[in-house]
Amino acid sequence: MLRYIGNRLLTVIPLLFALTILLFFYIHALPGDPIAGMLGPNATPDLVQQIRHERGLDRPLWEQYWTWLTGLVQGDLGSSLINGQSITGMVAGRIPATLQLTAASLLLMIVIGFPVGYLAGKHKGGWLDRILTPASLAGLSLPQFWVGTIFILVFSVQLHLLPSGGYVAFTDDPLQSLKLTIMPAFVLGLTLSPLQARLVRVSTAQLQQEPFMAAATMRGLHSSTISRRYLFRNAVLPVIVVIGMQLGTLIGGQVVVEQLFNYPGLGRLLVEGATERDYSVVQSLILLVAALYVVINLLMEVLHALLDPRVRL
Amino acid sequence: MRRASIAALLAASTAAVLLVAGCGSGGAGTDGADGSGSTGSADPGQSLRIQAAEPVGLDPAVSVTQKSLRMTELIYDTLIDYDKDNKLVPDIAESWTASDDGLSYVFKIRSNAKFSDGSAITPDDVVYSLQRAGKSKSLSAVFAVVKSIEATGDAEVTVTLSSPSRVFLNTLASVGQAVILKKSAVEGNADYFTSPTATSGPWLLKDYVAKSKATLTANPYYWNTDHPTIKTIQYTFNSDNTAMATALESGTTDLAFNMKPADGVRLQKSGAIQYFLANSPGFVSWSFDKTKPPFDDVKVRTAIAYLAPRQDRLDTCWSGIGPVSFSDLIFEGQDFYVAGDNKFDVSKDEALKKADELLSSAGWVEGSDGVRVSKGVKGLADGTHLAFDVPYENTWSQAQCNTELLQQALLPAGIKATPKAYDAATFYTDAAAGKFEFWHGGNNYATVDTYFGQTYTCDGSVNPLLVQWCDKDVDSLIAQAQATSDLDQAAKLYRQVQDIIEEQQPLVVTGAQYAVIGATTKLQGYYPRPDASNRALIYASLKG
Repeated sequence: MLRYIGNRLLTVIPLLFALTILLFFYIHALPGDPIAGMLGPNATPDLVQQIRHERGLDRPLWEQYWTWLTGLVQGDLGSSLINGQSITGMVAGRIPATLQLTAASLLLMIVIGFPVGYLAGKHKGGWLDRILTPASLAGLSLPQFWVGTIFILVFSVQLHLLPSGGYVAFTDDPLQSLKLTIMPAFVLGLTLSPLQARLVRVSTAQLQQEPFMAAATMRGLHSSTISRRYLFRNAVLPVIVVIGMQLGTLIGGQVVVEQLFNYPGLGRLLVEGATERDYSVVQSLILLVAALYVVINLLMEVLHALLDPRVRL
Repeated sequence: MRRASIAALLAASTAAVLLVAGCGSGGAGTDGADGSGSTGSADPGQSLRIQAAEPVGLDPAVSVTQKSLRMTELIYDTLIDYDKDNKLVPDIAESWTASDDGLSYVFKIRSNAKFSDGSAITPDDVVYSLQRAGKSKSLSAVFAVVKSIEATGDAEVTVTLSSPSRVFLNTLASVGQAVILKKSAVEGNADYFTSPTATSGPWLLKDYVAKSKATLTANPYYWNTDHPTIKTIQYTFNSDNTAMATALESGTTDLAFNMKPADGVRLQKSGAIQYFLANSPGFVSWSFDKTKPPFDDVKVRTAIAYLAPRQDRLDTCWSGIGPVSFSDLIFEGQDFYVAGDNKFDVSKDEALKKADELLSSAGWVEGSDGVRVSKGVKGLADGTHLAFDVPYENTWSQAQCNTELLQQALLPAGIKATPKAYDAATFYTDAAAGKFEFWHGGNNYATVDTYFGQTYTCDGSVNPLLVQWCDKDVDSLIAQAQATSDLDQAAKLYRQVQDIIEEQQPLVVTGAQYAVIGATTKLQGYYPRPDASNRALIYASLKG
């Protein structure tokens, strides 16, 4: 297992190096001057030139790339072209919010999707199963911005129950932090849970046809014992698969929800960076998200192997 | 047992994530940035939540955007300030005197003027700050008239000018720009402006999380001991006007800068909010590439001026908020306003008739497909259509509306204009680079003097972006207006500038956009200023 993990990690390094080249030169090929855009029409040409010099944008491209690459090797993602702040600090400031929202939405995805899928699969053809298919289709089809807007209109604007957006750290104000996380987490959870429910449903229904289930029944085990020991345990595996599929996407890609709820996560930082032509932020974040994606998928593969001995065979 | 383990694992993972989330709350913040350490036990007082775009740096030398000024004006004071009626009033300087020849100004510094770390504001700090502002690329042009800045006493600074200047005092009152800094703090820390400490304004920066939020707390050593009433300002950075309106409506924020006019009107009517208008000098315009046909011909530009929607623009796209121009560049209620002849205030039929005459005489005749074609236009082959794209900033919804209105207004006259949403980040760079033939634009300024100086003079910084026109007579008139101390004379000189522009139409101005500042109905004592400044928050409070 360790050799497998080591080999996978070794293949990641040239991949990430190639990605740095691609990202850097592609982003710098985009039209537009971030400094002129940032300062707007009231800036004098001299001021634009001064800031370009201060940010190192007047240096040759290869020199800028080398500075970025050597910084990356030392764990320094560089500085924002717009506000001069350290990108490592900005990312560190966003990770807590992103993790909180990711964890809450995955939790909701599991809490909603797993029991519904499990029960629908266990009682295939029953009333819950008949409801699940159209409901999950509807859930998969609803755009996040629409669900989110409805939530804001109902719970913030009409009922004044929850704030319409923002973020407070859990340790600063636990109640306010949860209030601010509930709506975006529900939007993500509701749109992710149908996929979860459908996978669990199919898996649970198939499991019931497996020979080991028939063998357990023939051994005279009680139905609740069979469900608990054999059906439920094996039905958990699709949850791991879906978490693995969604985690990387959620960490860097909750753009719509973060934008809608003014939630300062990594996805929103990426969008803001792209809008402002903040090359440094965009290239560093994409690289970081790509690296995270690779690592998370590797972790999920390992976890899957640990839970399912067949994978290790 | 296994289910219990899974449940325990999930619970533990969630707890761990929340703990990590909590531990990282500081982010890039700078707790205790005041250096005094005295704010921790202070009376928390009133707290105001603001949603606004993130500043582009906090260095006053580069604070040229409204985004930056709205924060720098709260953490730094200037020598002098404006009152509600836009008159100059003392700030860190408790008084000033001018010599009879208008070449020398003596400023007396308040005895209780202190930075947020409790240290006194000295004449050396003032000299350093003004010299720094004078050297900055953003203010060097307006400081060009300054010959020397010297400390001439324990609490006195003397500024000598090379020639009399009426706008010099206004320059010193430039919020967030001509600010007073602590020399030792700035020189002693290369990263000072990332998280400024020891600042001179009514609030100090307590923490700042880039691209997320900032907290300001009242400066405990501020010279005006009666103010501010609001002790804490919590900034949430947000550039989405729609989200700001929702936040105001739901009570998630107390003040939004800026709002879409339509949101402001709608929410005020419902009683959910109040809104204020900053009647800043400025303009909304159509700009031309005048180096080649068809817009090198003043007749074509004037035809567009007749056809361009004016009152319709205001009513449809700006919800009736702001001024409309029928040729004026300065509007009623603003300094130096003198009514013009409103040449373009004509009916639609009359406008079409005038445009037809002008276009026909310029060589643009009716085409078979309804779009005019050239016939004998210099530099163009006969039969060329009078058709062009009209780029507008894709983040400015009113610009889109206005451009679509223009498209409809030009069509009956045989002109085909096609609106094009254009990347806002590159819009003005590309405009200055000559990539556009015809484009939508607009800008606002703190004062009329700044407006005319930056926009209509040959060397004005905004000229290459939106005007692209140079007239030495206009330069001379603006220079005279800014030198004279006679305000009536200045108004007459600016009127002459407007008349020349009306005749030449280097750009078609159809009005201006006023900043709409939305606020909770609990906010009292606040007023907008013509420079769009939020400095009046010093005198504001929240009722209830």
